[in-house]
Amino acid sequence: MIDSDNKMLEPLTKIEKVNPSPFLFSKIEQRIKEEAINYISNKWLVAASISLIILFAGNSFLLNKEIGSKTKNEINLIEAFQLNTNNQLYNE
Amino acid sequence: MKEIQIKEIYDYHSEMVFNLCLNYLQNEHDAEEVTQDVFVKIFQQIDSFQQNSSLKTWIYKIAVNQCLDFIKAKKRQKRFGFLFSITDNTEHLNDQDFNHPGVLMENKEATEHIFKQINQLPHNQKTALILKTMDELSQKEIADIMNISVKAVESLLSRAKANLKEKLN
Repeated sequence: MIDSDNKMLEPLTKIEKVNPSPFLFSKIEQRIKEEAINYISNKWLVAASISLIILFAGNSFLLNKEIGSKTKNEINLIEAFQLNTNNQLYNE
Repeated sequence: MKEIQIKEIYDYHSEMVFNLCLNYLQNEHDAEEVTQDVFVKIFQQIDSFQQNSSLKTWIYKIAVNQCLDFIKAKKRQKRFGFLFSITDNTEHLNDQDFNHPGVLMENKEATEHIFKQINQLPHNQKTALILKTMDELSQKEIADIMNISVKAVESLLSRAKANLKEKLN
């Protein structure tokens, strides 16, 4: 049984070890460098996206606040001067 | 990680990784590509390497997984290859030709035939058989690489041999 197994696998045992191309290491080094650059640019991309989101959120918050205070001021003014708030131009 | 350390690891393990990839993929170009992937992964993850296993076992694990991923990706590419061929004239797949520089000319036919049958085995049987017969690892080492018990390796090897015998006859 073992003998027949060995005979069957015999061609595999005759395979010789091969050395990789001498340029392979420089290719690997190049890839590591490229991936490091990509990683850095990805980091910057994430940072820029977060900053934009914060900026947008802050802006809309301030805008909402401003609109709110404006409406309040207008109401105060109307009440103070007892202005007519309907849209009719002439009094009937 | 220092460049000297990277070079040291590469010098010590590159032959082992390249030959494993060659035996797994049987194509020099593919083996070179996967060897690159393996070392890029090693150097990216070396800081997280916990010394529960030896460096050699860890590198073997990465190499086997990269070979499996490569085969899966190639199959996927093949499945959708016809779509590329409609839209694009460039070649997207390497030749599947047997191109193993370690095989002597006089053994080429017999070795190619046996590799064709090995490629039809389930992945775990193929891995165990390659590591045992070509890399000459012990069953304990194979068990560590494959994250299984020694008994399971024994069973995988005997099933692989039985299946191979059936296919070759």
